[in-house]
Amino acid sequence: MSIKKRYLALIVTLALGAVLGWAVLGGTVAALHYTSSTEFCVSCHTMEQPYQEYQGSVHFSNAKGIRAECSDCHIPPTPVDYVMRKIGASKDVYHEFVTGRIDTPEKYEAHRQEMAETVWARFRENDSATCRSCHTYEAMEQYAQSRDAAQMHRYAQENGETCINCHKGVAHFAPEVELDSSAFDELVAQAQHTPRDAAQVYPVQPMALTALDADQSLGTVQPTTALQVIESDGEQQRTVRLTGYQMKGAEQVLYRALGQRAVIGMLTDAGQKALEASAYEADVYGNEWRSVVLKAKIDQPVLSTLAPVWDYAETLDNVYCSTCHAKIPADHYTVNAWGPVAKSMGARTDISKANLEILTQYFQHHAKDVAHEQE
Amino acid sequence: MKTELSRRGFLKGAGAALAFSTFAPVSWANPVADGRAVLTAGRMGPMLCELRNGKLVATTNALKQTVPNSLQTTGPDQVYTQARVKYPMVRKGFLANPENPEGTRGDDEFVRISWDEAYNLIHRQHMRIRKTYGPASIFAGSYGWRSSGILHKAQTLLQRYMSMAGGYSGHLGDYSTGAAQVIMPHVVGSVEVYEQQTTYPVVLAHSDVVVLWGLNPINTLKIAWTSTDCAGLEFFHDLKKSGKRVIAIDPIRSETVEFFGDRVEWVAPHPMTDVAMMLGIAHALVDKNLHDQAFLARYTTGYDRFEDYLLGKDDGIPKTPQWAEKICGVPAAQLETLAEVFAAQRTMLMAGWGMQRQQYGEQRHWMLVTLAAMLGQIGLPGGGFGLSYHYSNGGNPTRDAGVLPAISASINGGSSAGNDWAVSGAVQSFPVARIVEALENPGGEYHHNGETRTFPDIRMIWWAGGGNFTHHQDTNRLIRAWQKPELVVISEPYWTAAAKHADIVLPITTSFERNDMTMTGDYSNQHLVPMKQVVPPQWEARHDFDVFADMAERLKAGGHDVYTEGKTEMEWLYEFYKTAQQSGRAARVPMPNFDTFWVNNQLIEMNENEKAEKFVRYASFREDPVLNPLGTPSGRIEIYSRTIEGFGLEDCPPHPAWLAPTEYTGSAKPGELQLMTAHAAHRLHSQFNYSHLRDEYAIANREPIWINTEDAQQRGIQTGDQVRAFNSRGQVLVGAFVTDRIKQGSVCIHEGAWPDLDKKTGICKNGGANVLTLDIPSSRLANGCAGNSALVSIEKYTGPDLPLTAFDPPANG
Repeated sequence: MSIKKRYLALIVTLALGAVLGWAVLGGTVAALHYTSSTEFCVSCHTMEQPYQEYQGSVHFSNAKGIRAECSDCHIPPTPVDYVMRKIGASKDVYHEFVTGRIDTPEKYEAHRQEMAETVWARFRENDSATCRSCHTYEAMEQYAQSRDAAQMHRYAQENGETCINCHKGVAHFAPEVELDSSAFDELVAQAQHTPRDAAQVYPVQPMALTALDADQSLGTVQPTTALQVIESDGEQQRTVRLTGYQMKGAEQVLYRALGQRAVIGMLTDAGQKALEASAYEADVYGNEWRSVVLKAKIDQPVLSTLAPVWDYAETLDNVYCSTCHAKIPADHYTVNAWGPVAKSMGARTDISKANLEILTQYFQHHAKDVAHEQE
Repeated sequence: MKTELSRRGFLKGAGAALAFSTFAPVSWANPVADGRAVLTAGRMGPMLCELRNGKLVATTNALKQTVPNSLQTTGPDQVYTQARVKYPMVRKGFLANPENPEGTRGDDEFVRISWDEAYNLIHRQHMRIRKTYGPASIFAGSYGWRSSGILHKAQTLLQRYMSMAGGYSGHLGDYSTGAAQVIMPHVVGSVEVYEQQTTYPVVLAHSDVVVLWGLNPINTLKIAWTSTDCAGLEFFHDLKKSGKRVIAIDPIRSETVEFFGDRVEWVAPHPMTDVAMMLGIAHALVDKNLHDQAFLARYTTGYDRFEDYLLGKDDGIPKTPQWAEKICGVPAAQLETLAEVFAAQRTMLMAGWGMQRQQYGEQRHWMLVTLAAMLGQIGLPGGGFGLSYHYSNGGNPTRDAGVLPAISASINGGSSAGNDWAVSGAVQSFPVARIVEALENPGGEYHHNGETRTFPDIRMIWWAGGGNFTHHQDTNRLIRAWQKPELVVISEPYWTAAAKHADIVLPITTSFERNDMTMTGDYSNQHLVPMKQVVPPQWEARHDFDVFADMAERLKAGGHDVYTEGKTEMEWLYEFYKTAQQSGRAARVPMPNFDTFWVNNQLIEMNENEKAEKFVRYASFREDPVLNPLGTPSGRIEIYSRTIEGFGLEDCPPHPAWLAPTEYTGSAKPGELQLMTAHAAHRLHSQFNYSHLRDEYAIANREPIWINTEDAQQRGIQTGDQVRAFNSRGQVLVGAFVTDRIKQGSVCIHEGAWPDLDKKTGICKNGGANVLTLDIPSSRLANGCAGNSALVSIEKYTGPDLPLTAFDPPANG
């Protein structure tokens, strides 16, 4: 009997355990499942903003009637990552109820960059695993894609790129990038310390050119343009020689080289008169060019080397360009192509005029068709 | 009845997530939402439509506003007025013999026909005329203020059909700014009149003096070309509160001047004499050495040539304030004061357009820009000039927005688009206000902006969405010329005078009977608004979109689907919205998907942009005129234009100058008065003339005429009298409003009353101002209209009582 009783006890215990275990496990599963639902995610006030942005995206609604829910993108499918993400996400609850860290549109915007960086980093770590749970190269019909898209996908596949490197802002808005001005200020500060006897100098922002003998404007010179110093007064005053090209029909503009529309300066009527010029010669397109030299006074700080400017330009490239698309190497385009490309792409960002000028000069200095000279 | 409009119409929170988890089909067919007011929009802004038993009973403003906008109440009138065209109608004499019709347009009876009969009748004659005389013989310029919306755009839809048919004659320019939009590119390198202005916040922060030179924004900002964002009226309200010095220069103490009350200084010159007045001020500037010579040297060209003229060095007549006083009627001392005030303080010269809808209209804004250049404040915050503050809320900062595209005037032609239609746009075009000259003088040569051009031989006219019998000058001359074409088709919701002078009239829906969308704010893009259908199409009215698609099918089998690109009304709107959503994403405006947006019945407000709020017109030019040149040949402001010099025009010299008009106060014979045709307070040009608002302004059931007290006394006229106004071109019956609010020697009949000519006497019973105006070009530079140029005589009307018939449909109609 006692055996039977023990059996019974065991059976009862096992049964109880099973029930309890089932309840606990089941409850956990249910809880995990519930807390992965879009309904749960957007029940927090702070999720309203990203939810609105997502509602306008193709991941929310489309012709096929397929929706990527919050969890489909934000919770990786592998068990360990899944649990880690769940635990990690508890801090969102903390901020929602305790700190209110992103509870206004302004605060949300202020933290958007770091939040995006965090999520992008996660995507990079797991090679965009959640993207790939729906999108795979194998499932893509390349001829159904635009030519550009197909080409980029081939490139990405060959070079082991991960989805998020290009596809940012596909559900929520990508952060609006704006560089703080400290790096540029640093550049200007450096220019203050340029040796007085530097033989060649470079402006970091558009700079006025003044006539040698009178207080008359000859025009402006663009940043990064090389200026040969003829004379220096020991302060910021310098007499410089600027060499460039002029094209018939656009005499106001100084270009860096024959046939290459990299603008290095703009001339006033007086500036055009002050030029020492060679004879015009025609390029293959029938445009007539001549080399010119302008001597002028400058009184603004300049650099004696372009190295810090190019460092700065690379930062600009990272911040403004490669946030939206994979970085395009400077030698991808020609000098003449970079001008309009930089202008039209720049218009789609918040980059300042001064910064866009430096960035354009950077691209043009390192363009496909520029012989790698000094610098 | 109110509908709550949140900043953005999103379903929020968990409930929303659940709502989206099940697919709720959108009932597009049923336009009326669940008891809420339906949101739509018109030129007069976003409006909420109240329905009772399926009938539209009221329309009210959907945006918050301080200054009331009467036009927003006209919804029910627009739908249910007795003036609606109910059925396709054809002129009896035309139906009897379409190839060689009998009778006179405007005199004949109308007969009701079916839509199919109308289509076939038009198609056969259209094809015959096209084959015989070529595409240039078909005028589809169809100018006018069709209703708002990006899909149901009457003119565009007409031209889309005509482009499939093989081309047409189109128009150049417009009636509003005909002169200015042609001269301004020669002067400042852009059209100027349709461009964003230095913003409201900048003016409020930086201007010391605001000059309202011939503009009446309290009337004209009730509407916008897309749909008003209602910000302009608020701005003028803020300007009034700001305590800034406001000077209004206007022969009429307008609604705007009244609005500012004792906060404004009213200066009243004679109409058409603005250039003389500006020259007087300019002379005073030079005399007192207050002109900004550094600015003139750096940013303008040809000032020296102009100064010779100003000082009288070339013609021996110095344009002194005393000289100007004799012409413009403003005391010389006042002109000198104005010069001092303008030069001493940050002054924004806001100018209207009425002053250039005159003979030699080109000179007005050219001289204004010259005056502003002499003051040297162009490009400074709150200084300079602005030519679009009274229109479409110019100055309301541009938003970061998802912007809607619109249907285009041409299908995608060629085999790559899956069709083989030989598509052609306008094969030739002429300045829109010269249409009567074109009808009178087919093949005739004329000058336009330096070119010699030829008028087409117009044999067919199809007008959709425009009131050309009200907006064109010299109505009687128009009616005579209108007999020339072999076929005139009018697509209209209403029995306008143009419809009554047509061969075939097609009943078209109003915007309350169809689905569409619009942005508000031509410059601001402040909102994206659903224009939801409120009531079903009335009577037999159809949408232009459907009419032209049906007509396209008759051009060639399959034409219907090529015209519509196989898309329904809602499918078009979906695609437009998708495009807006894309640009919205780039501008960081969260926009829900289309289904949600449409069901929500709410507008989407776009994001403010801090940089755009600080926009100062010409600031970049001022900052660096070499790097940021103007679009003129010299890159600078051209006070003397070598280009215009090269045209050798007598009526448009190469620098701004005073040219005495043919008909103005200075040339008036005893008893003659100058007629002004300003914009009315309770109409959009001729639109809504039939509405209940007419009760608020009509006098003795006639369009009012404003008469100066002194002029009225001399003629024994009192407020409330019926008055006959007349000249050699025609006569109109109007109701006297005797007032000191108009310069002595001038009268005003607001433009836009529907011509209603008495068959026996020829008198216009509804006071159509254009019966009296001159149909001449502003000059042969721009060929703008000259609707503010006319002298008239007036007398108390003592003839037989003439009942008004302007809004009556014809018998059988």
